[in-house]
Order: sequence, then structure tokens, then C-alpha cells
Amino acid sequence: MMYDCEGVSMNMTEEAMRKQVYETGFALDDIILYLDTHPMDMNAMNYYRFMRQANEEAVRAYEQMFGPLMADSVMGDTWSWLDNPWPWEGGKR
Amino acid sequence: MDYNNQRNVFYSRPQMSQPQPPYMNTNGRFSYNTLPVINPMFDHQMMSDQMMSDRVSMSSCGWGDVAGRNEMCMWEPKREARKEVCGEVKSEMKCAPRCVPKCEPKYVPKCEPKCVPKCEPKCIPKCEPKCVPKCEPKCVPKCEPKCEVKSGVKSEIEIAPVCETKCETKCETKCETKCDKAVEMGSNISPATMMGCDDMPIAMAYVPWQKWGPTYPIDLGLKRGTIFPNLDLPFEMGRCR
Repeated sequence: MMYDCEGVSMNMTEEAMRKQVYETGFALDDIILYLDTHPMDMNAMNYYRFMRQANEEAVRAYEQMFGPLMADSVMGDTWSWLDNPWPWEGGKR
Repeated sequence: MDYNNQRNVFYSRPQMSQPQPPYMNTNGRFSYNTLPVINPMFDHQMMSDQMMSDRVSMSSCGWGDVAGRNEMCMWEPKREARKEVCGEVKSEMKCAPRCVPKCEPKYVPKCEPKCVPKCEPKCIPKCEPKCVPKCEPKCVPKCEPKCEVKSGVKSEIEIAPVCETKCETKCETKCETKCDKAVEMGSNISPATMMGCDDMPIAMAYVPWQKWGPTYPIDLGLKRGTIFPNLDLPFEMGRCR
């Protein structure tokens, strides 16, 4: 846990950044569905490129601050996947 | 005589000067107008059994086989002519029963039994008729004359009792059981009939193709479950009306 004296605001930041990941991830999923039936739509393709980049940046920013979101995104020398609380321990991701 | 040479001699087709149409002799054999030239060195006596069988197999290839006759015919020089060394030799046609090749039994491919999937019998739900008792009170007025004798007055004339018809309404609850249509197992009642939709017109539906348009902001998109405002429609539960 990365709580410090400013634990509350830190928590808010974590939530906001996680929300950013969820929102960009959902928009990405939805535009993928649209592209399945409209593969030639250039507007949709531009939206997809933009949203993919936004999602990557949101994930990267979150993981830099709060650790890996997925087990296969662990970077570094130690296995940091176990550092954060699991869902049954109050973890939210 | 060298066997191989003999074979060669035998297997070489008789050299006919000019093939002529065969015609039938009086003895039923076939002959030609112009007789072919046959190698005078040919001697049937020299033929071994093997050669005879070869000959048969050769004949089965078709030479000398006269159409319409079940015989194999070939030219054979007359005995007198055998001693002649060369020149045209008269010969006669000799026929032998045609060799009918032994037919191998036709190969009939063994057919594996086709795998037909075992179909489970369709499970048609047995619908019990829904019966709801409909109860309504039925009231019938029951009228009976009630007579009272005015007492206390005695006279010679007997006073007739005063009668009044008094009615009482008697009610009974009578129930009739009303049953909905039931679908019997195996019957041809369609679901449309079951639902009472037979009188309705057939539907024609047109689904418009989604076009690109403005999208929701991503936070609203997550809340609404779609980034497309034109797909953000209310979900109404319940049956079609």
C-alpha cells in the first residue's frame, strides 16, 4: 500500500486513475465492436487509435504509481504482483 | 525352333495383303475373299502348353475375334501348304471357343454403416391445461307464504289466517372451471396459436445500419454502457404489447 500522511488524497488519486483506466478501456472495447461491423469507417479508426493510446497511457500512469494491473505487466526485479491487497483483502483491482 | 523366335512368329499378327470383310462359309466358319500371307514356318505342333495359354490370352486381346460369334478364329494354313517355304498359302479359318476371361469378382467396397446421429426425441413440454375455477354467487329468492292466525279473537266464524308471502334470498356459490388451451404432446399447435397471435399480421422489420456520429465523453460512456448516444436507449422490461 502506498499510503502516507496524505493517504486520503492518495486514495482519491488512485481511484481517479483507476477510473481513467476503466473509461478508456470501455471506450476501446466499444469502438472495437463498432469496427467489427464497420471496418472501413475512417472516423471510427481514428477514434480507435486515439483511445488505444489514451488507454495505454492511463494504464502506464497507474502502474507507475500503484503497481501492476495485470500479472503480465510486472516490470522490475521483484515480483510486485503480490505487493498490493487482493480483492478479499480490500483491493479494488 | 527357338522358343522365343517361335513366340515372335506366333505373336506377330498374320500379315494380310488387304484386309477384307469376312463372310461366313457354308460350314459356319468365317473366311476372307483374299487369304492372308502366313509365315509357313509356323507349326502348331511345336506349340507348348504355355504357348497355348499365351495364345488364348492373346486371343482375348481381340484378334480373330469375330463380332457376334462367341468364338476365337484365326487363320491356320492347310496341311498341304505347310511344306511350302514362301509364297501365298491358302489357309482356312479355324475357330476355337472364345476364351472368356475369368472375371474377378467385382470389388465392391465395403461400406461402413453411415453414422447417423442418434436423435433424441424432441422434448415437447407437456402442458397441462390451466384451469381456474370461476366462482360466482347465485342467488335465488325463495318465497314461502307465512300465515299467522290472529289470536285472541274468538268468534263463530273462524278467522282465516293472515298470510304473507315472505321471500328470502338464498345464495349459493357456484363454481365453473374455465380452462385455457392446452398443448398436447405431439399436437400441431404452433406457439403463435398458443399465444393467440394467429389473427395478427405478419411482421416486417427494418433494422437501420448504424452510422458514425458524435460520441459520449468517456466517463458518460462508461456510465451509460455505450459511447454511442444513438444506441443509448431505455431498456423496458416486459412483454410486447
